[in-house]
Amino acid sequence: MHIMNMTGLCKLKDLVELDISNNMFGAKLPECLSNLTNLRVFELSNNLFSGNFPSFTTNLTSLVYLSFYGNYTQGSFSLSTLANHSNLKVLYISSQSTKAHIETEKIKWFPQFQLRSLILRNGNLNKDRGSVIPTFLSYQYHLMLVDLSRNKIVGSFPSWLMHNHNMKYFDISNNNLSGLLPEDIGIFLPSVTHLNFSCNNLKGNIPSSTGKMKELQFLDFSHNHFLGELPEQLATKWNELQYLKLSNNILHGTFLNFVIL
Amino acid sequence: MRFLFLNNNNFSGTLEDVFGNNTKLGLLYISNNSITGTIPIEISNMSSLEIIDLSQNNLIGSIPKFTAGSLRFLYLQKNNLTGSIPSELSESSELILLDLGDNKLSGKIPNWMDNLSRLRVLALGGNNLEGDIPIELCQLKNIDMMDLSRNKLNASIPTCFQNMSFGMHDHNPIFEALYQITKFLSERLNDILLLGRHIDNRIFDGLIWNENSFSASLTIDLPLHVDPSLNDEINLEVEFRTKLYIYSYKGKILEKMAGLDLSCNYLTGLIPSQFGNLQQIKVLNLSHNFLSGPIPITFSNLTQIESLDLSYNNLSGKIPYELTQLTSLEIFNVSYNNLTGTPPSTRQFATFVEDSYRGNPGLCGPLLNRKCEHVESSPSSKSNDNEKEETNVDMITFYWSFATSYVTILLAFITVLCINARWRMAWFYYIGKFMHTLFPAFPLY
Repeated sequence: MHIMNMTGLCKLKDLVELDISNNMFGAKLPECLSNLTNLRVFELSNNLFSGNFPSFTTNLTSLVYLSFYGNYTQGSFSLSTLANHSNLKVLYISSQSTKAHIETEKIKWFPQFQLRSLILRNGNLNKDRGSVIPTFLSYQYHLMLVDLSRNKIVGSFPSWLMHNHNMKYFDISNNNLSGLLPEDIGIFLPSVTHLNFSCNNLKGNIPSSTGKMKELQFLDFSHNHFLGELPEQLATKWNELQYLKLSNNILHGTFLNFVIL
Repeated sequence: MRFLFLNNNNFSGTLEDVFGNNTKLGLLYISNNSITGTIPIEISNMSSLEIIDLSQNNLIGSIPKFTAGSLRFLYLQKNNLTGSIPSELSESSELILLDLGDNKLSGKIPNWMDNLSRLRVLALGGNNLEGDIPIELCQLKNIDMMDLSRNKLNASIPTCFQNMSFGMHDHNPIFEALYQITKFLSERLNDILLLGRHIDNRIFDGLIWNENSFSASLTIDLPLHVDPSLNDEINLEVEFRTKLYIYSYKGKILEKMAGLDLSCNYLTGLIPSQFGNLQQIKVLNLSHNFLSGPIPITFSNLTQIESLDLSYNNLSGKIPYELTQLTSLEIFNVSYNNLTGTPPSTRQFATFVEDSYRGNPGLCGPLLNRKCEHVESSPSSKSNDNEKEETNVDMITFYWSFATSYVTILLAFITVLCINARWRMAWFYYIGKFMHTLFPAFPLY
């Protein structure tokens, strides 16, 4: 589809779902898309969009699902522009470009939405504000998927994220998080299936409560400073585990209690 | 468990009873720990394994049987494994990489190696392997890197080193051979994106569609999205000695690397001119052997070569001027041979310093501070093979001349004392006086 045809989309005032994902669209999106105020699903993932992030999403207050995942978008995108999107449940933003800048702290704002699914990946998150973890996340209680990987985030492990007891997928790899993991992480995230904390500066023991994560399928704690022995019988508790990566830490002890099922 | 990475930690103990009855394991990385004991026999039942990396531990015993079907990468280097290379390994015909380097393996390089026709990397360096290089190795048409260095191989180099890849073939990216993990990680990546739609069906409940109409958009099959960072996830690495150092190759660089290392053996005979057919090779190391004869002119075909080490052999003749066509050459070392004439000095050869040529008494020219006519008149002195022997000759001459002069002076002294009585009396008087001062009991004349 040529870009010139895309302005035609703006006439579809009653459009509710626009899904052009997994194509090779690359031109600038027309600003008149801001007219599609009934739009609930706006799905652009895995295309070749390379300009600045569109600003018309501010007007699309009916959005439930917004995804720019896997494009080459650059420039700054402020999540505060989505503050009043009270229906928003899925927000996916990632860029293959190094020049993307996702920003959540420039102004004080309070989210009207409760997200289920959030990807802010490879976006130099809050790089002008000390690369802090977005504060709006502390008002989110129904998150099931969180991917904040590849952002250079600093600070300690965001233990308040564990208020989201339904968390299934949690990826904060490739950041600069430091400090210990919460002892009771396994109690607060009982149904998590995917945990990726790799490539940070986390230290201390691997909490034995991780054995409580019965549905765990994927666990990557590699490239940190975890030390000590593995909690006893850990692997036998992880019945569903398919992928375990603990490489490049300072772990010791024998595999005596570690039967690889 | 299907994919297990415990490498680069301080784990200890043995692998006994660790694997249970697991048949699903596809990747096993336990390298660089302090694991002891033998490789457990259960590993031969683990029929899904694609990568086994037990390198850099303290494993002992012999190499067990591995599953024939799926194994593609076997890293056992830097342990204390003994015995010979087992013939069961010939059944692992899917192997792409075999690294058994730096163990204590003995015996010969097996002649069934041609069964492993998919091999792209073969590393057997740093063992006690002896005998010849079997010609079956030349049947490994896909080989890009081969390291047989630091063994006791003692025959001549076979002349069949041609029609082998060494960078010539365009292979698929090496990690694509890892079907299981590639599929697993790609699917997870796509699952995330789909999860947003599946995660809570109620998301779309409030919309104007009923469930039936919406389910249409759920059945879209996303194309498998292979993340380029997948290669980092699966750390396929190969160590290879290049340009004086041991480098670890991985990722895209590994795909482009091509090299042959036969150094530090007891190889004899000529350098086969067929090496000139390995036109994409980047590294060739034949140093520290007993190779003789000339440097093949065909080396001028190795246009991609960056490092050529022929040092510490018995090579003779001139350095072919044609080698100046090798414009990628960064390291060139022919030191400690018996080469003659003037080294080329144009193009890349203008960058090489005296170290490249040291220990070749027959080489001359301004770089070596040796006038050519002088040296060319004396290459008949065959004993000047290299600098080591050169110093030996010097020492022998020195001892002989020292002994001769010592005896001559002693005889002359005694003769003088015999002839001249006054000098004799004075000599013994002063000897007696000297002895008296040391030992007062000594009678003074």
